[in-house]
Amino acid sequence: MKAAPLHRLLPVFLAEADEHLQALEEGVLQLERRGPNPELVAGLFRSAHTLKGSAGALGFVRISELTHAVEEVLEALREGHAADGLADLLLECVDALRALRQEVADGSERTEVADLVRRLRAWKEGSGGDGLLPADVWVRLREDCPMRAARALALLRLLRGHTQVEQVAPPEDAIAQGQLGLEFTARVRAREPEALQELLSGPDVESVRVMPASEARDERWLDLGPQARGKLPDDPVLTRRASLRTVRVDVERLDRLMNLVGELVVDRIRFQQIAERLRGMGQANGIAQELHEAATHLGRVASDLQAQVLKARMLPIEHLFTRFPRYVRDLARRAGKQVEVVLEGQDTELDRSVIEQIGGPLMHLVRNAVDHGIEPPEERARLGKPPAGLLRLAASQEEEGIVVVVEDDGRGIDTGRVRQKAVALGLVSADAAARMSEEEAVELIFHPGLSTAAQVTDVSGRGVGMDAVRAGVQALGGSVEVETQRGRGTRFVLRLPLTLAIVRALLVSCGGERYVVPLAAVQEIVEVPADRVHRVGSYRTTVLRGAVLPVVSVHEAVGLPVPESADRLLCVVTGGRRRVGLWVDRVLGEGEVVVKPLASYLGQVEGISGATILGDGRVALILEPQALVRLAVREEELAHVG
Amino acid sequence: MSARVLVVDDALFMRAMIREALANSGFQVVAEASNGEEAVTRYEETKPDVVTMDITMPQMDGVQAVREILKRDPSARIVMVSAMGQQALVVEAIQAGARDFVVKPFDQTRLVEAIRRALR
Repeated sequence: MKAAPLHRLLPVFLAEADEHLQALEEGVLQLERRGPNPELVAGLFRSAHTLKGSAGALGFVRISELTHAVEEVLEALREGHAADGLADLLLECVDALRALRQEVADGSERTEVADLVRRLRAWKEGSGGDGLLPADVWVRLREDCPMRAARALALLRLLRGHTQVEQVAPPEDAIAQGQLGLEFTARVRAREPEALQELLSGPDVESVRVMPASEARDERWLDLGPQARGKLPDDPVLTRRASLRTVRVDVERLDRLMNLVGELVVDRIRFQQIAERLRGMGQANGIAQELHEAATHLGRVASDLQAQVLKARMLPIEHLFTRFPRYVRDLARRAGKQVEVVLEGQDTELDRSVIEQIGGPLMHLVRNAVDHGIEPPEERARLGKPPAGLLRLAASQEEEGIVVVVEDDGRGIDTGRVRQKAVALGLVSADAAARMSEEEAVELIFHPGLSTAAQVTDVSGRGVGMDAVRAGVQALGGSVEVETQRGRGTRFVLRLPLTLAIVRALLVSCGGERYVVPLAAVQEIVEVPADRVHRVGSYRTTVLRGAVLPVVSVHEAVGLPVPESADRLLCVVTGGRRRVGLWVDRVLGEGEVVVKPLASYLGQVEGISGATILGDGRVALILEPQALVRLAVREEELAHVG
Repeated sequence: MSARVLVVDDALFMRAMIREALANSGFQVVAEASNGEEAVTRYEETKPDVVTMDITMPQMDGVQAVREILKRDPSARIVMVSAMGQQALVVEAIQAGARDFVVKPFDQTRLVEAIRRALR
């Protein structure tokens, strides 16, 4: 018999895969809650086995490899091995299989499974028959700990009372001879590795970290939490075990390195400027040429160095994304909804500081999507939608930045109700609300007044904290856009910079001072005759291609006298969906600047996000477009009131 | 039931202080000893749950006493009480099987915590 063509079997496979993945997921959650029982494990095994069989038949190598490893683990479980720590791992497998299922639907398998397979095997071997789990324990003593060696040995003694200690670094003999800094590590096998943290904590101990050994290698424990920052252990056990080609580097060290590279970039620009000036003077042209060439070479080296350091600071967004399937499941269960999470572009890399800071806003968006966007299954069924809502988190690199999309196929934002609420809360006049375009009405969800008002959590669409989301993203130099369609869903698009340390910027001058405007925010530069700028109080506007554009005077914003006669040179910048014309004297050029925070004694200055040192050694303040847009909005409101 | 403690120290003052600290925390001091030999004898008599052991003592020092006690009862729980600068001896005691240690001068909570850890 001739085999049915692949394309005819694929839909059958996909539908079946969905069923089995759902079953696996539910089973694993039960496993986590109630522990293994034969029936449950058998059910899980059947799902994995069926999936493996059909995937194998269709040539989906990764799906069948991963399901095979899952099968092996389930078999070990069936033979009575402890299930400790397995649920999380299996949930990750389910997520990977989900991703693969989506990928084969779209074309071909992309998600890597090797790491999961390795960890499944490690779990199987590690858990053995004795139910002991391998873990790496890292202990750091306090600076003021007396008799460190004795303390370390006493702690190891304590550890021995509760675990099997397999390896210690530095070795105990060395510790006994006083060869110990503040830290030591031990590879142990323990029934409850989580309990070791508390066991070892004490007055002489600065911190204890326990990591499941199966995870230690994939650097998951680098974690993104604040306590992980700047406190990476020198870990001989791990380092030896991990590939010899990797070293762990303290994040603070990377930050310092980044800072130094930043200085180098400044010097490079300075050299180039000197070379230009020499050339301009027309004398000693040979030397000027040589200096120019040397500066160009220095520039290339500095760029490479900068790129390499930036790269060293990058992490795949996977570190963040992997939390979501689980998070969503919990949320969805609580809300009585079914939500399928699809993650895309998990290997997209971005700066770890960006990853650290984007977690909160993403969490908000995801929670809103589950709580307010996606409908309960019955409602979806009535609407002819599949019972499980789709929540898509996708990351990709575009030009100079990263785009993260959070999208659901729920009910969309009811702009009518958003308008009503905004009017009811006195945020806008009924008139203004009626005049708003759909897009402007959707933008209202970002209004601090609306989004923090607790009573609007029932507004179909979005609830609490959208202003915080936008503020968080904008603080990173990014932007949030929202698109929504009633009954079809909502899509948030976050545009993020690759790094926070260096920005491409426009250099402008105003009243003899220089300022820097992040280029990402600049749309265009236009010249407008003075008489085309209209003014109500301190609120200025002009009309640009038929649309009203608020004008913010940089002079005024920084407290300089405003020149009256000259034509207005406007940098059109965006902050969120709003645009303003930033009125400056001159545009001097563009380039890369290294962002330095303002000294703390200056505090937070509205409209200024930091400072930078220019090539000639002068300091320029970095303008923050979002804050200037806020300023314009405030003045607009004042003008309307007045 | 509160844990029973044997306090070993050659200084009467230290024994009194330790006794008071332990009494305040609900431990029961079942015996005291002022040197290593006496400690071994008292241990066998009273079979305490935990021992606080001074290091520098006449007749038999604390480290030797740890060895002797553990020879007789491998599950004995002993907390060393050491003066500053005796790390080598403390290390030796721990290698011999002592569970924990405190460094003089210590505050009461330190000692109590060390005893609680030793009892786990």
